[in-house]
Amino acid sequence: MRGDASAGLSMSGISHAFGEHRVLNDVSVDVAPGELVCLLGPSGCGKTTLLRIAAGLEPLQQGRIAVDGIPIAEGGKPGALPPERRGIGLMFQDYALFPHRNVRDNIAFGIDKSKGGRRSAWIDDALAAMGLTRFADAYPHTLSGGQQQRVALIRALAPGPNILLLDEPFSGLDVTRRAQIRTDTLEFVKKTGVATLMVTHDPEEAMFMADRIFVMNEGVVVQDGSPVDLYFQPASAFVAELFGPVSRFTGTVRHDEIETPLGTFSAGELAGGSAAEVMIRPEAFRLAVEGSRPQPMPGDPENLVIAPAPLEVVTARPLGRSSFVQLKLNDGRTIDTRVPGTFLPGAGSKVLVGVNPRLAHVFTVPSAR
Amino acid sequence: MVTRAATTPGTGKVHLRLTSWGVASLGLTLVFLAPILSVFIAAAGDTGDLWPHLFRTVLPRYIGNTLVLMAGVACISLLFGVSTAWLVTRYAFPGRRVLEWMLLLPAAVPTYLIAYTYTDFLEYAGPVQQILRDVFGWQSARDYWFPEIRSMGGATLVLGAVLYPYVYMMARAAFMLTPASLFEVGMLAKRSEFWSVGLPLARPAIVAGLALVMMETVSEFGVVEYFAIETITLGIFNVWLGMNSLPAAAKIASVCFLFIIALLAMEILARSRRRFINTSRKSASLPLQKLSGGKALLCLAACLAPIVIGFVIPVGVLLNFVLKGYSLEFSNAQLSAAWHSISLAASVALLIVASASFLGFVAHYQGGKWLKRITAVASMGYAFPGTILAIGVITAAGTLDDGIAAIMDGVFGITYHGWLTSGVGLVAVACAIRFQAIGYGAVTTGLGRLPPNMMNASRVLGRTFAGSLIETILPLMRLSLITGGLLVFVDVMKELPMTLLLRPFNYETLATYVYQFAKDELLEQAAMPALFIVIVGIVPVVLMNATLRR
Repeated sequence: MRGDASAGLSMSGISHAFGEHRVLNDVSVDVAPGELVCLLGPSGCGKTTLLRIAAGLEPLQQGRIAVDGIPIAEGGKPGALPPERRGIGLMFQDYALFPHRNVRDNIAFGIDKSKGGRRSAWIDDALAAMGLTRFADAYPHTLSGGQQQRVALIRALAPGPNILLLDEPFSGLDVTRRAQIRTDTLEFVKKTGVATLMVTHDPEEAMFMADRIFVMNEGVVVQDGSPVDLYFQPASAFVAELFGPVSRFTGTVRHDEIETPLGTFSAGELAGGSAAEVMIRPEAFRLAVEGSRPQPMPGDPENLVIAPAPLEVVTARPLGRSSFVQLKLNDGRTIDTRVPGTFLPGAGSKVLVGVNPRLAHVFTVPSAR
Repeated sequence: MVTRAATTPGTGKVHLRLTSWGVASLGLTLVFLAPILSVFIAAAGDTGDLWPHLFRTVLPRYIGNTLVLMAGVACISLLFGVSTAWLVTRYAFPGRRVLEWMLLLPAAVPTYLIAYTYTDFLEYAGPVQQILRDVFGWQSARDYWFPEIRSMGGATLVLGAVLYPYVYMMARAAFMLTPASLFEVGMLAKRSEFWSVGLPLARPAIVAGLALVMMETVSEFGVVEYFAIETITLGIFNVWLGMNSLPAAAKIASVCFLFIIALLAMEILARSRRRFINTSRKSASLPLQKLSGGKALLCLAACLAPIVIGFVIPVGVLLNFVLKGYSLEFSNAQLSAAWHSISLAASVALLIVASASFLGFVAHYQGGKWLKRITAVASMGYAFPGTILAIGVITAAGTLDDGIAAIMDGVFGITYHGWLTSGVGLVAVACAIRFQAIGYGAVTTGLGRLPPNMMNASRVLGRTFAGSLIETILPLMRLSLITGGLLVFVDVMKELPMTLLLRPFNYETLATYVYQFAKDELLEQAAMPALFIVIVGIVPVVLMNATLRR
């Protein structure tokens, strides 16, 4: 983690409480210029509060915030900069466009009047880049959700902030339009070279947008790293489950291994005798009809974990590029698998099951909460 | 890092600014509360043996009369308000849409005007008794009995006739908001739609409306004075002006506090319970039941009756005078009264819009739980009768004057005679305190309707708090503020007791002008000003109706 002397946004040791209710506990996040960092977590995990503290909309209670190495607020000390003097742009979840100003006036609102001329050309370019030129004189309520989102983004960037905060920027959008707008937003933000901190509860969105992701739960950062790190090396069951559905098996660690109905997995460094669970992603499964052996896919390690006995197929459905196959364990539980291509064994037939161990994560089971 | 963040103080500049806005807010709140508190200061004054005497002789009568009047007006308001609200929300009959808003019209008639006009309408020489004599051939008052309007019963009727719209409005809104599904459940269970579904669900709203009606009744001055019903409010007035004892009047006012507190509690309780009901999702309302023939006529009559009693007759009497050519000369006295009314109402409206905006904005954007509560208390004046506020304002101003006089004399050696205890300014301040709630209500509703994050967006985009208020919040709040100001304007135009008690010598508003003539039984001479007050009073009715339609 970088110190205060570096460029970008640095928040360290942030703790915050609303009355008795603790929402942030010693959280540290930093964003370098040109970097996009996502705060990812379920609602109520404190991520939006952190954003509001950075913007100065919520007073800082504990910790310190610096922009480009210059402290702008320190918990418990006077002299915190008010929001209007922080040079931080914020795009609100509900966009918060001023209903009484047209698109151009909304965007120009935050621009210092002394540099009006220079920025006016910037507005024209930004509107053009976002395909909004002909809406410059329109009022916000006449625009579609996607258009409002883009206006809000341009407005947040118009004053030329060093830091940009995005609060759930795509949550108000139609699912069908989300992908396109996400791409446009990413491109636009990256072009400005601003240090961006974005809040989202959608793991897929975070993986698409972020250079680094900070996963938050109940007021603390539980893991941070690149999207690939988090997906392939989740540090906890919470993180593993966040990035997609898993099948869970519990057992006890013996001789550095843990046994499941799907085979024996390496328990890594977990102590012998401790309770552990194995989480397996649907796409970790390699299936084969009876009589043949499950084969590793390109990128898989040589040795798959092979289930000791074939499993009965409950149902198999085509999903286009992949197939969904539900299997039944001997104890009656079902597991969901997703295999590439079209693989549709008949219900009631048996298949042999292999698992890519890199997509199976082993964690200790917390003894008591 | 296990220290409790909750106890860590907020930081620096933001915090400091917060307090300076907050302190200004608290100061302003104190100005609004000072007169109310001053009543107690005044009550502590020496009354000699007047108070024990009053306490034994007249006070029980004042309290008894007040209670009887409150109960009577409540009954009439319930009868008129709830029944008509049910009819117009549940049944389709000819004229329903027009009646729906015309039922609010009686609210445009100030209570004192309906008292004056009914007296004229029902007196021996009035049209009703004349027609009766013509029809039945009676020769004189000895030949028949006719009820006296200037009585407790008469006061109950006329007050109920113009105050029931409070109940009507609340009940109608509650009936409209009750989800159709609940009525359908009731119908399936073969239960009465009204008694088992509509009324129980609307009860908190109706009680809240009723509390307002009773507050108005306790505060009532014009009617009880004209009809000589000795209620507490009239008692305060009489003891102050008649016996010339402000301390004794203030002591009676303190007794009146008990009534006000009880009614305030009733209103607040009802409002808090109403919230549970209104949280239901926006749901389709039940289609109206079509009525025809006799039933439709009956509905029509039931809805017309309150309108005729509360609006058509009083306005008819005034119109009749005007059409006969009375009070059309537009004398200087009339014009100056009109000017006084308009200028006073406009200044109070501006004063209230400014103070309510300031208090509302600061509490909303910078205030914690406590600042919000305390600022809301600044609007308490609406619950207090004008006569009580008048005592408070004059006591507070007197205290201030004495202080200034002492300083002027002691420090500068100048003799100061005290200018604060007389003058139009006092009337304006009293009105501002009494009607603050209207402005504050408009501001808080307006703030509630603003899109979220407007202030935050403005701050993040580089505006200071004050800058954001001016450039972002004020333009967005324009309509709410104009509405609030307009409502205040009309209420000040109608105001009578505080103006009467506090005005400088020879300063007449339209209300006091009408009062003077009515007192001398020369209402016809002031018919035009009276009519003007009613016409202005229709403005809020139109506004209320518009909000109800939304």
